[in-house]
This record gives sequence, structure tokens and C-alpha cells, in this order.
Amino acid sequence: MQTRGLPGLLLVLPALLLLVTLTLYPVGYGFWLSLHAKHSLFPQQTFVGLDNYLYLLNDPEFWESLRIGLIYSVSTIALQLVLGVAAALLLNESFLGRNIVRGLVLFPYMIPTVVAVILWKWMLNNQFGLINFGLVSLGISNEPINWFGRSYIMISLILVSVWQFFPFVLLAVLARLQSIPTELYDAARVDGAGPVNRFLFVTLPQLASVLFIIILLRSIWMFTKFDTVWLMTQGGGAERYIRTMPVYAYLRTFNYYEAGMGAAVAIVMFLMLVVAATTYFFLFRQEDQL
Amino acid sequence: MTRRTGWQRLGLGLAVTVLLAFAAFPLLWMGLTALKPSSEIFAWPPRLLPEAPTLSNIGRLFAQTHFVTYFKNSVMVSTAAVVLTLLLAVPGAYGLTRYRFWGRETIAATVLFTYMFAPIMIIIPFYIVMRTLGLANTHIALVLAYCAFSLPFALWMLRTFFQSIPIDLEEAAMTDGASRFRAVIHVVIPMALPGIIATGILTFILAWNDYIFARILISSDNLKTLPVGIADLYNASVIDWGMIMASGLLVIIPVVIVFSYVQKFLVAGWGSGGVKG
Amino acid sequence: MIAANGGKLFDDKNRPLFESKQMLETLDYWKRLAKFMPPGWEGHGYLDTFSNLYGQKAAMMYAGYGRGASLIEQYAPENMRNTETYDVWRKPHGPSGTAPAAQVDEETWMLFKGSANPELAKEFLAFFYKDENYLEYIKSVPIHFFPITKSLRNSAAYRDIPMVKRWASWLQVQQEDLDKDQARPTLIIDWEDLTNKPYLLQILGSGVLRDMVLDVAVEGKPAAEAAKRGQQRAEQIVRQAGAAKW
Repeated sequence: MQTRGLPGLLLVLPALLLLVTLTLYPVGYGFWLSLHAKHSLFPQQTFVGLDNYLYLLNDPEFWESLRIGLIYSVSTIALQLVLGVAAALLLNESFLGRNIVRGLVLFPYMIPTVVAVILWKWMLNNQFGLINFGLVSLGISNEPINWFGRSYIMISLILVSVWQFFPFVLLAVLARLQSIPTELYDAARVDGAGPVNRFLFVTLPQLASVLFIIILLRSIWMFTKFDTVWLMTQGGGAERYIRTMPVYAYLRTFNYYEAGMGAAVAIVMFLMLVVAATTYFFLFRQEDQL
Repeated sequence: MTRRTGWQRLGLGLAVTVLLAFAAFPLLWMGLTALKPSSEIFAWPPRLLPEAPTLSNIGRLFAQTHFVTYFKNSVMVSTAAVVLTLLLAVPGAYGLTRYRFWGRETIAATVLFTYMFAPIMIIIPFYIVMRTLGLANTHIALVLAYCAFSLPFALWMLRTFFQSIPIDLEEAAMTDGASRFRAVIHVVIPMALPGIIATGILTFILAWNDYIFARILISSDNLKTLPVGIADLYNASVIDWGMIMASGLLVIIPVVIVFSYVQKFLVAGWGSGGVKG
Repeated sequence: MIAANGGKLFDDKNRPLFESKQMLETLDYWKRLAKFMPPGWEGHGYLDTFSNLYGQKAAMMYAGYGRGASLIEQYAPENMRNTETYDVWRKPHGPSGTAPAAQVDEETWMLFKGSANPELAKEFLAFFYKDENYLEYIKSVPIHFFPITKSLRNSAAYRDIPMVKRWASWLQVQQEDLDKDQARPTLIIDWEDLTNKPYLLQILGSGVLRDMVLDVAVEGKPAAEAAKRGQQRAEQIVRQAGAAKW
């Protein structure tokens, strides 16, 4: 029963108001800045139109950051999804100590990024770290692996990122799983469906709308992720091998001191996401249930 | 619940153990390191358990830093952010679900656009806005920032949950004479509680975890939140690994406890959930 | 390093000199050094270099001083926390140079134009750097500091600070660097560079120099190739900064 629309609009208005005032200006400022050449520390700027964008088109560092950014995003999103859904299914079963496990398993998402990265840097340290000690003692590897050297740093980054964020998927999916009526499963069992079919034909459709939004959100967030990536190297060491687009935008602004260029990179990211999200909506938009 | 075979039980136990090890072993390692004296932290080969466990790292954390202040600040700011976000998002999501009005889908989609502009680049103009409003270096600025950042996903998540609750329930309650408002409070909200709780937790963690906004918006030491305080420990003139691990430990334990208590509400409504008949 | 090899980074017209003989020799030196660095060194951060040292995985590190001393005292085995085990070795100079060079690292005070109380700020600084106050500040941090005022450096009160006594030979090397005028801030080769080369911050931030070293030492590229790429990038940065006069 969809009635007089106005109350609906009024209900949404406060939220909208906050969003518009607090994010519209910053985004608008970003657009404006990308059309200027501005030294990050000085207040003057000169209008250069699309020059920044043209420069980026020919900038090998930009294309490299795009390539690295995509590798990072796609890998982490896929792994977070698989791990998160699998873990949610697991924790939906009842077993002894389930409540405590549910609490502990959220741990990676609950600690500040700084602590998470420090912890993993510590465990993956190639001289003193526990992981290498384990790998070498168990004979899995002949010598300690350089987790932060150029060959492995992307893997380390993906590992830490998946570890840190899969609980987000887990939590959302688990909440949804808990509200799937058991009658649906009972009916499926009566029809002779085994566990795989029950998952495909009962669980998955029920999860569809949650997964739709989860995939969208995690994609946007991993593509624009800055903290975790930056903290792995803090700009030193093998940083250039994990220089994703957000990091490149940051470097252009705060290390090259070219604020306009940094904003341009951010705008390019923005446009890429808009295109991707629009396509995504078009392909996968769920019909509203009423 | 069907009874499981022995193999199924074994498989389940194994899977849970692996999951737990992956997610929580680092927590254990962090806790054990927090209890080791400095000399043992760099011992090689590494020992799992401390030989001479000590609370001195934790003691130093409390005595030499403003950890307690940072903790208090984080709790206040994160809680306020959750309250504000839910206050705005629950009615907002309900409005977006149950009512049809012009531009509804456009609004819903546009709300997500704010995420597509990398937060790292939003931060400086955001700071300028806060400064113009006279809110620079206040907790209010942080709460507003976290709320603005959480609202889009809160609206969408809650919308999903509201959509899965059939409208018949509210209609039934209203034909029984209840006003729409009462119908919502007594029927819809309890059924959507898992979703509301999950959204609340995720918002809390987002605020709890944030480094960038807290770093830029707050300059007074006594207003700092935990992520900034801990990062400063790492960048201090002398690194104290034991103390850093201790701070990580203390940061996590209360949140795990609260969640373990709250998570039983993740189970839907009354009994098996869903519509009967 | 370039200075220790008698080279310069930029000429009078601000053109980068990254393909000069001195730069190529320096890059080759890095390449040779890389053979002896701990595995995965390119992924080590600033603090890892210290833990390599006091954890006895490395025999030498590039620049340790104050923070190094305090970390050694905290984490190295008891019998190694002294200058007999860890001492400073003055950097050699390169084949094209004549004297070693050192880099200055400090935290500077800045007084902003248009600030509300410039006179008060100056008064504060005068107060801060009075020997007896400066001394208190130095004692408050658990690293040994090298004071910027000669008066404090030569005073008995400073010399008597236990940590200063323990690491006296380290501080002696720093004094020598100052006496021989061989210490410069980052990227500064001649003192005039401080005023007539305003683009150094961008060069540093862009990581051009670091990338040249990584290209040569990690990627194994020949010095000439790395230098050429570095030259192109540096020229672009100087041009963008509006300082290109060639």
C-alpha cells in the first residue's frame, strides 16, 4: 500500500539535508580544483582548464596506478565476498560456543587500521615475524619470505585488506541469513533438495538484495581505500608497487604539492565509479518488494 | 535442526577452527606480545608464551600516555555517531521503502554518489566547511563527519531489511486499529531489528576505526580519538612495541564483549521469524 | 652521496644534472651496496632499519644517532648497549669527490607572516634556547640530542647527562661535521641552494631520486637508463614549478 508520497519524502529529508550540506561542497570544490594548477601550500591558483587531465592521459605513473588499483580492488572484493559469505553460512549453523566465535570473528574489522597494519607488519616481518618462522619451521619455504619486498607486497596488502574487511560482509549476510524463514528450507527438503541446491535456490535468492548492496559498497570502498594501502609502506620502501589511484592522488597533492593534479586524479576515479555503478544498477537492480 | 553425522560435525568443527584461527589468531598474538617484557619481544626463535609475563606495558600505557582520555573520546564520538545515524536512517529508509514519491529512486541512487569521491580528497574542503561553521577541533565535527559517511550505506542496508518485511503485517496491525506509527514501532522495528543492530554496529566500527577525519579535524590532544592516539605512539620518538600491542589489546576487548552480548539480537523477531500463514 | 662524490644535483639554470658522471658513479655504488643489504631491504621502513641493527641482522646502518641510541638501549642484548659495539663510521667520499658529506636532520621553528604575536614568539624562542631551559628540554626526551647552540654543547651540564656521556663518540662525529662544514640539509649541496632553488620540495616528494636508486639496485637496470628516466621526470617537475631557465 503505497500512499500519499509526501510523508515519505519528509522522513528522508533530514538525512538528505545532512548529506547534501556536508558532502556537496567538498565534492564541488574537488571539481573546481581539478581545473586549476595550484601549489598545495600556497593560496594562489591559475585556471588551466583540462590541462591536468590531458597530462594524466600521458602520465605513465597514472596508468600504472590505475592498473595496480584495479588488481587490488578486484582481488580484495572477490575474496572478501567469498570468505564473508562462507563464514556467514558457517556461523549460521548452531554449535557450542557459537556466540563467542561470532564475537571473535569480527575482531579484524573492529580494530583501528593503524593497529591492524602494525600487527600484520609485525607478523610478516621477514626477520622477526611469526609467519616466516612458521613457514620455515614447517618446511613450507626454504628461507624467510620478504613479505614487504617488491615480489610479495601486493599479496601482503591483499591479505591484510581481506582479513580486515571480510567481517563486514559476514555481519551483513549473517543478519540476513538469520531472518530467512526456516519453512522455506523445510519445504525445499521435502522436495528432495540437497544442501547445494538449498543454497542455490533458497539462500542465494534471499540474499540477493543484501549482496547487491554489499558488493556495491565494498567495490566502491576498496577502489577508494587509502588508509590500509598507505600504512603498509607509509610512502617508503616498496610503496610504488602498491601505488593505487587513491595513493597516487594523495601523493600528487601532498608530495608533489600539485593540488589541482591530485584533485584531477580523484575526479577521474569518481567518474569511473559513476560509470561502473550505473552499469551495475542497470544490470542487477532488484525490483522493490512491497 | 537435523542431526548431523559424525563426519559433518568434524567438518563443521574444522571449518570453524580454521576461520577462528585466521580471524582471531592475530588477536591472540597481539595479546601475548602485550604481556611480554621488551627483551622477549625480539627473541629468536619467537616464543608463543611469555616467559615472564608482565603488566608493565599496560601500566606504561596508562601512566605515560593519555590512552584513557583517547578511549573515552572514541566511545563518546562513536556512540553519538551511531545514535544520530540511526535516528536519521531508520525513518529515512522507511520513507524510501514504503512510500512512493517523485524522485525516490533518484534520491536513493544519488545518495551513494557521495562514496565515489575518495574520502582522502574530501577531507580538506570538509575541514574548511567545519572551520567556517566554527566547528573545527570539536567532537561535533567528527560526529557529523561519521554520520555523513555512514548515512548512505545505513539507508541502503535498512532499506533492504524493510523491503524483506511484508507489508501485510503493518496492514494487519492498522486494520486492528493501530495508527501507522504504532504499527511501525510494534511490528516493523522488531522484525527489522537484526538489520538495525547490524547497521548500528557497522556504523560504530566505522567511527571507532576512523583515522583520517580525526587526524585532520582534531588538533587538541585531549580531544583525540584512539586511532590517532595509537598512530602517534607508533610515530613517537621511541617505539615501544609492548605498549603498542597493549593499546591494540585494550582497544579490542570491550568491543568484543559488547558485541557478544548484543549479537543475540541478530536473530530475527520472535521465534523462527517470517510470516506465518 | 652526490656531494660526497663531488657532484651537484642542479646547475645554475636549474637544469637537473642526473646524467652526470658523478651521479652515474653514485648509482653504481648503490648497486654494489645492494648486494650486501638484508633480503627484502626495499620493503623495510625507517624503523625496520633500526630493528635490523639492534636485532643483529645487519652490521651497518645509514643514519642512526639519537633514536638509534635509545632503541639500542631498549632492545639490544645487555652487553651490546655501548659504543664499543656500535660506533659511527664517517662516510667515505666517491672517486670524483674529495671530502665526505653528511645530511642534517632537524625540526625547525617557523614564524608565519601575518601571525598575531610575532614578538611574543621571538621572545619565547629566546627563552627556550637559554642554556638552562634548553637543557631541560634535552633531558626530557629519551634520545641523545645534539643541541644547536654552541654554548650548551660546550657546557658541563650538557656533557654530564648520562646518555650523552654513554654515546659521546657519536656526538663527536656530528661536531666534526659541523666544524668542517660538511653537513647540509636534504638535497642542499651549496648553502645558496636554500634560497635560489625553490623546487627542491617537489623533487623530494616525487621520489625521483629514490626511484633511480630502486631502478638500479632492485630492478637491476643499468645506471644510464635509470638516470635518463630520472632526468626526464626531474626536468618536468622543475618546469612545472616555473623555475626552468634552460
